[in-house]
Amino acid sequence: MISDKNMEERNDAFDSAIREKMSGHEPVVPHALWTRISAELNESEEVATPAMPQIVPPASATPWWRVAAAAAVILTVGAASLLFILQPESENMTAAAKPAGKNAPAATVATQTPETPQVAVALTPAIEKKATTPVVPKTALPAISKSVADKAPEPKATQIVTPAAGDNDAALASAPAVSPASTLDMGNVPAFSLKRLSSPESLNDEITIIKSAPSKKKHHKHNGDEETTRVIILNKKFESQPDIRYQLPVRF
Amino acid sequence: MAVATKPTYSEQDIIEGCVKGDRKFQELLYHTYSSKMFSVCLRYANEYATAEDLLQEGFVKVFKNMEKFRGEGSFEGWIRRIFVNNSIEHFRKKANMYVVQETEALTYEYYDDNALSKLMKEDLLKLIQSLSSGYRTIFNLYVIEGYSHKEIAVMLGVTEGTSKSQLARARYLLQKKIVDLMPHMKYELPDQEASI
Repeated sequence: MISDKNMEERNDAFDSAIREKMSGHEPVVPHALWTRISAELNESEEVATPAMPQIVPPASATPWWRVAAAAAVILTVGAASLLFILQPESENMTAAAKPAGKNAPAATVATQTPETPQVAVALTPAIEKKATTPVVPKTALPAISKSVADKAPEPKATQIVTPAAGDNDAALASAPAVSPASTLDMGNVPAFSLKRLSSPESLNDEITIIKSAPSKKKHHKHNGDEETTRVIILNKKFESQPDIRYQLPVRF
Repeated sequence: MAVATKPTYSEQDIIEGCVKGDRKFQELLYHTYSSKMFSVCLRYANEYATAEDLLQEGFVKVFKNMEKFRGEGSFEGWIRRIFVNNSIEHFRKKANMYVVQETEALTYEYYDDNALSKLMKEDLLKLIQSLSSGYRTIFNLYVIEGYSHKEIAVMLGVTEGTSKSQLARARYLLQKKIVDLMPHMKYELPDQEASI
């Protein structure tokens, strides 16, 4: 019987003999093996790197009409922003600049004019000289007067200055005072007129001006009492609506 | 008359060339180590064709992972480890581990060292290949590669006891095969043992 110690020694000797026997073993390798390995490496490299990258236009390219639409939106927003920055509080400015039909009925102008004296009173001394050649007398008048009429609660006051039916001359004569030419062309508006309008107390001054030097061309069919009455009513109207009163100077 | 001599490359040149994917240096590396690595593959494989497949797989892995060699240790040892791990992975699913009972004999009683010395290398290789994959793997790892039972247990995912018992069983079977290959020694051994 072999003892455990003797058995371990025999096993160690056996392992050493095996290790020594196999250490120098270098069998002949088949020649075709490198060809197979090289072919496998070539296949793996071809899979990893495609032969020729195709030049294909990107499928997600933005179409021309999207670019055009985006440009239009940008220009529109930019223009609106520019107008807003230049005249931030002139919400009626764009309405006045809207072109109206050339053949706007005179009755429409006449019915809208009652509200315009609020503006006409202020601008009369400032643009009276330029009023002889109005740029857009008919078209801008309804727009401005309409915007003012939306805030005016007393239509009764407008009846005083309403010219007679068919009297287009009176309506047209008063129109240049509020024409968009005077609003858009700020260079023609004297500074003192804006300054007076900027304070609520300036209304009395305006009344004085109208009384003292009424435009003959503008009010040739009205006597002084009528003008006085009109201004007084306007004054009351402004007092009842301070917001409108403060907004008026800003429009110009 | 000038004689054209082949350019000699150092091991570092071969490694750098293989890292760049130069096929010339890869072939040079293959011819340098293919014979030694084929011996490893033959020991872990049960037949010649399987050893060829293991050699091909091993060299492809070497070339694809060449940039991972950091110069720690010998380059031949790094390549050998790749081949051993590849062989283990190849036979992992086929390996059947048996826990040998302690009462079973661990050494074939008729074996003698003289029998192994008279044996040819190719014959010994065939005997190793004739072992089952589980025995063969642990025998190669412990006896020839020099791994401990603890390392083998980690590599194969078995316990150290399993590794020991598998090795004992593999050794016993190989000794018996050696004695069976040379029947004349079988009858001489008892006399020697009796003399001891």
